[in-house]
Amino acid sequence: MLPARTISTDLSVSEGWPTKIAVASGKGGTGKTLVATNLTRAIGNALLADLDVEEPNCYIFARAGSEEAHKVYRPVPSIDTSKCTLCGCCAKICEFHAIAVLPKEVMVFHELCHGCGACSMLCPDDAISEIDHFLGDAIVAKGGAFELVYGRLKVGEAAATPLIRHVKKMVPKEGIAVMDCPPGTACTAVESIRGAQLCVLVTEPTPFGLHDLKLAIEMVRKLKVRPAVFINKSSLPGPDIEEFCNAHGIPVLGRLPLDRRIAELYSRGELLAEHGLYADIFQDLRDRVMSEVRR
Amino acid sequence: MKEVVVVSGKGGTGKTTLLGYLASTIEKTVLADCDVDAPNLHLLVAPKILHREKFVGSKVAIIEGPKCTNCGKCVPICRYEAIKTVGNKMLVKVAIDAGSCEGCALCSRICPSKAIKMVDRVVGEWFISRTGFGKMVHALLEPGEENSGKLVAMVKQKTRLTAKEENAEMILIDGPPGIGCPVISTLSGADLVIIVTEPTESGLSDLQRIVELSKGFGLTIGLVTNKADLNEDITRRIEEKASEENVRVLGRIPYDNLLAETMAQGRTVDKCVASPAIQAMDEICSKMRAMLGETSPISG
Repeated sequence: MLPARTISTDLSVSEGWPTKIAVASGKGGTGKTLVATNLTRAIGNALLADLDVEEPNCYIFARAGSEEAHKVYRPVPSIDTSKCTLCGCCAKICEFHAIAVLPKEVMVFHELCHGCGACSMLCPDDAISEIDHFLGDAIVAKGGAFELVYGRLKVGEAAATPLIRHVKKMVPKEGIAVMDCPPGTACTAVESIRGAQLCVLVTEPTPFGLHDLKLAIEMVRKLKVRPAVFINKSSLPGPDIEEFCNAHGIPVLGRLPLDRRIAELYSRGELLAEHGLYADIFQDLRDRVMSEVRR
Repeated sequence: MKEVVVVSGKGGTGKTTLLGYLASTIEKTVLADCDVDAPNLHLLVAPKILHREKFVGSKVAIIEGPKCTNCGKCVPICRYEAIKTVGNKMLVKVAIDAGSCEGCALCSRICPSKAIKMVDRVVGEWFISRTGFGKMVHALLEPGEENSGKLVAMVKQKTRLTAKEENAEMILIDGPPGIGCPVISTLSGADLVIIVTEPTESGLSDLQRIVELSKGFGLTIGLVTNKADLNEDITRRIEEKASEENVRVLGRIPYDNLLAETMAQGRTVDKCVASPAIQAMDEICSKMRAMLGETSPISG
């Protein structure tokens, strides 16, 4: 165990403003959670927000003393049959085909609804109100290796982004937050990375890692977030990620070799930042990340 | 014809590795990659594209400049916070962030000056290709776009059509990680779901959620534990959990640096020298075929 660190004031980047560091990747399983949890531990006074609400795992590494969950809902339409005239307006308005008007009733498909509110706002008979549809839990985990907030999507629920948005709003307006993002380059990753100052893309030197890294860089740049790279399994004999990053002006902030001992520690839910052998790597990463954020 | 989907919950557990091996071993297959926002299978099977088509996922709102009076009525009604006022007190303008717009069209419907138009949004492209292992249907979502679930549904539809044309006996589908909309779309209608997991606390946690999802759809599930000897204790817990959940254990693949290095060079595994991992995948393949035979004895 590292002694509790006192953090020098120069780590707090800009007083009163949140510093958000996203940890993402194109390809899944490259080590996002490994980097996010250990980076948070190395920073010491940072909050970790686990935005991979489909498969949240940071809680395993936090080993929190207590968890406080609250339920999160999204609005879906509810039809007041006493007012509804079966006119069919709502079905025509709904761009997501979540409402079907049959001869004798109106059917609402909650899983297709995007909660835009158009049907309830535009119903000519004022027959549509909105009710809560359970989406998942937002959880605050305290007293562990680091402070953690995370979302846990209800199994079977397709819409992850509203829960991600909710968990992001739980991040305090001040201080440093590390955000563990979902894999891929689609809407869930976008929602998670949006608004960060820096996005650390975790990759591996394989054709898959490089291919997905290129897609991820494109996405991050579209969002006007600064990309940086961390190379996991850096000793693999695949494509040269460093060369690619140098050619594209993207800083490489750290590397971790392919090492069975690391995989074993990770498998047990342990933090590398708390093991003498690897602690330096993450302290170094912390310093590089903070200097990138301050740039 | 049987449809086999390989998923994992947690990313990077070895879906594509296993699928590449199955594709190189089983004949008369059609392949599909449903991981449309980070596809990888094509890197392994070197497809030659025969047909490509743009995919319109939804609509997006745009403001027709001259008509807009900058009244701002559209700003508060957008639930996705996609419409903002920009500029200073002297000159306020309304602007739409296409990235946040989900295409609900509410703004265009309520705009008093009819200044907001909904236009098609191309979110990606899909392909039918020829590979050394049969035809393959795949896609690429534009980075940062939404509607990956719809694009997955398109890939699946085209895969089934292609498989029919090719008289294929099996469809092998590489799935996306997670349990959200693209995964739900990938799983629908599968004859067998193979879940590839790894013996880590994270893998176990994610496994429970993808099993629950698959069972919710009433699907038949087979389980493969990759890097099984990394943590024997968790591997045992995974297999115990599987038997409780009525999930068939198809096998274990041992931790194998050679396999990692082969994949790092983008080669399918059948071409490299025999190893315990390959032997394990061979046994998994036979068990999978036996299991498919059981799911419907009068196989078409």
